[in-house]
Amino acid sequence: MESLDILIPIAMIIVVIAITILLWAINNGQFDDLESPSETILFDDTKDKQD
Amino acid sequence: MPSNHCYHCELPIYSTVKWYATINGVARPMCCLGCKSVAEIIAAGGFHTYYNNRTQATDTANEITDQLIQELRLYDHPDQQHSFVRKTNNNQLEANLLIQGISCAACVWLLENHLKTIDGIASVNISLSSHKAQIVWNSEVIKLSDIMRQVYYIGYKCKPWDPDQQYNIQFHEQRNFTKRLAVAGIGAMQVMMFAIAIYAGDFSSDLSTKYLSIFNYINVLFTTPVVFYSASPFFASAARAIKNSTINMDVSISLAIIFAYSSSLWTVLINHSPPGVAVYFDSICMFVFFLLSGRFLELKARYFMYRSSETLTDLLPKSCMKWHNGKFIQVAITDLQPNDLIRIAPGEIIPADGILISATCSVNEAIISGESLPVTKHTNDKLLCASINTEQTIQMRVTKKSSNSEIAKALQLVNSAEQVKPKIANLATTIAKWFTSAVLLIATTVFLYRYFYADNALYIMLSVLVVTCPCALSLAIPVAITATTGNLNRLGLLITKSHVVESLNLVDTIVFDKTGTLTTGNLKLTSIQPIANTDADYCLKLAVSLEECYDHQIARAFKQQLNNSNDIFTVTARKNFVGNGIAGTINNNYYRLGTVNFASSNSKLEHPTTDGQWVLLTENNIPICWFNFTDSLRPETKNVIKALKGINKQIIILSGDHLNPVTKLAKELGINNFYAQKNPEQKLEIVKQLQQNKCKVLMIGDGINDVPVLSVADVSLAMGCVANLNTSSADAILIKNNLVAVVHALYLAKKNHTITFENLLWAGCYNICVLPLAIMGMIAPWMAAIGMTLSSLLVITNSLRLINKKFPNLSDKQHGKS
Repeated sequence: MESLDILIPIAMIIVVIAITILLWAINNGQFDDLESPSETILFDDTKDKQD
Repeated sequence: MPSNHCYHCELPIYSTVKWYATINGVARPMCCLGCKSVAEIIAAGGFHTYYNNRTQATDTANEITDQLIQELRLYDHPDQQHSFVRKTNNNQLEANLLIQGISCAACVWLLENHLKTIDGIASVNISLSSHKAQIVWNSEVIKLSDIMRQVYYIGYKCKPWDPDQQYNIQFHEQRNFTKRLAVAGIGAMQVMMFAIAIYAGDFSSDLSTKYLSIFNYINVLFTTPVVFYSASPFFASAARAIKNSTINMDVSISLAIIFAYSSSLWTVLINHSPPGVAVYFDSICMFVFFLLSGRFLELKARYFMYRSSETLTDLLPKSCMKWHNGKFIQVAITDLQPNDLIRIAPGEIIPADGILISATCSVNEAIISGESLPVTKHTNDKLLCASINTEQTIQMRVTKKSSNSEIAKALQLVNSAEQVKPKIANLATTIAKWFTSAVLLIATTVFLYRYFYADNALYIMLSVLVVTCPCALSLAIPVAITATTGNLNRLGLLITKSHVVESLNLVDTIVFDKTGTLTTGNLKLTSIQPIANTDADYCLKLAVSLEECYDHQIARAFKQQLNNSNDIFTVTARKNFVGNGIAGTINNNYYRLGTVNFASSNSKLEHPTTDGQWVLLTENNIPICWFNFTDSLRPETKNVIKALKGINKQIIILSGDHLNPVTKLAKELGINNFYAQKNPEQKLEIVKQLQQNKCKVLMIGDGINDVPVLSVADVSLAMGCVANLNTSSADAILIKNNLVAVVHALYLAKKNHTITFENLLWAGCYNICVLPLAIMGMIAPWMAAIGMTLSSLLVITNSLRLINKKFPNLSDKQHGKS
């Protein structure tokens, strides 16, 4: 149980980092358009194929 | 019936196919040169898979006119650019543009890939949901106007990104909501993790007090931001309600959160976490998370509805020619002031309200009045913003700029009408108010009773407070109506009065106007009657040659007859007598083509019949041929009437036109009830009579001569564009001029009613079942939280089913879009 004395603070720090990154991503507009990436990854990149 | 459809825009092609474009080795039919050029550019770039991937058809391609290219060059000036262009770190420029015409993800793919192939472009990012394009480019290699021109080349339109106040507010609201949701979600997960440890410790009874305290302190740490940041919208709304001396459901939610949080905080900080005493941090976090997700979905529905009605505002051109210091210069229309003199070329849109200065002209005010035939304007007549100048260059003195114009005022009317709550939703909020008060009363009673006579008072009270939240009532009905309205907007039906969705469900009789509603209001050449042995084809060729460079209704009807555009006569000495006809010389003969009195000096001549519009062609003052023009049915009319009959609606035609054409039309459509030659008062009487016979009437007209009738009908629909409101008091507008929207609307109204009923039923049953259980103490706070938020989510998701619904057998792709 003594391991928890280290692990819990580490977990909390990781969570804080995660929230910071998440908030940055939202501010950067990563979550604005959730529909088109799901479709565009299926499209072929024909330009590359021709080259 | 057309058997060919344009491969690019998917609209039907009525005559023989004149243009083909080779895409991926196969020749595909095209409806016009515009679509053909766009398709060829797409094929040349190797992007033909666009046609396989797209889920919706694109709009018909535009013509790249010189005026357009000139207008785009305006955007190369730095002072025009400051609002939407900025410098990036590597000395490049970044512009935000709004792209119009995007219909699905394949469009985004096509645009991004096509633009990336252009020299000088560093990056292109286009958002499907907002249609915003972010382009970074090197200004020494390519100009912004060239980039914008490329967008037009592949069939889209673009303009500077200039969102209005409302859009900005909504955009930031959505971002903030996402952040709150994220914090609540992560908080909930962390707290749950420690809470399970505590529950496990409870179960096995070997959790030391030291670790119990530690876990609880951590829970406090994670729950605090959830309560103070994520849940703040609820507190704000509750505070507003209390300030207005009313109670809404956010009040009970806020109370639940505050009680749970403070009691748990007290247990941990003051009481030092005695084992066996419940704390509610996990419930609070999950509760807030679920509630926020419900609100988030509702926000997105509202956002979607707002965005789908955005396209109304870009009817106007960006620039016009203004008289300044002795010559005409190009200025942005936003810079126009009253008393400015401006010049408008034929085919252009009039950019402001004003007075005609030059000689008699002809304008098309369909966008304002719904009247699709052009109107003659004399000097000093009023000209309306957004009407189209049809025949010749005119000069106008501005009286009101576009932002103050009649059409702008009408648009504001539409926006404000959208804010008014429908009657049923208000009923629901009233129910919610009484219900919440009752619940608070019950909760307090239960608390006092259990505090003095039993145990677990706080626990039970929290359950009661949380579980009986009337979210379903207050949330779901507006969301259903929002979803329906948003869907209808997309289908081309713009609702301006709030009762439309509920009233449409009660309609059993549909009354149609004829001209401009069932028919297109555009003339078609239906008969050629040569006089005394002249050859019909020869007469047609003469007429077409004379009409070649004009753009009015009759000219277009003649030009439709052209099969081979090279084979016409050369015409000299053309003259246009506005409102009467045209004249010209071919092979040394003087021809006149127009009204009887204009074409021939013999006033005794009469039209062959009274149907339609007759035009006379005379050669050297000798009549040689009659041409007849009639109005043609809209392509979708037959199918729409069939569908409406299929859902058992009584159909009536009410027209001011002569008996013969109305009878002919009614027979063609299989309608037995029709009235001809009725003036507005008589139309009013007929509708009133129907209503006295207990019919609920939906009236569909084109606004201009139907004003009294439209205001009397239970639900009224006007054809044509936006500002019909000012003149016609209609409840809704068919902005795409496509009658198919009527069928969809009736179907959607019925679905809305069903879904609202389902929502109310679920909300009622849920609350009735759960409240006794809560009072008896059989529901833990966390069960209550899940139950309530899940029920709200269920109700909202049920309402969202309305967003994409359409009448099953009819699609507006099949029957053309305008």
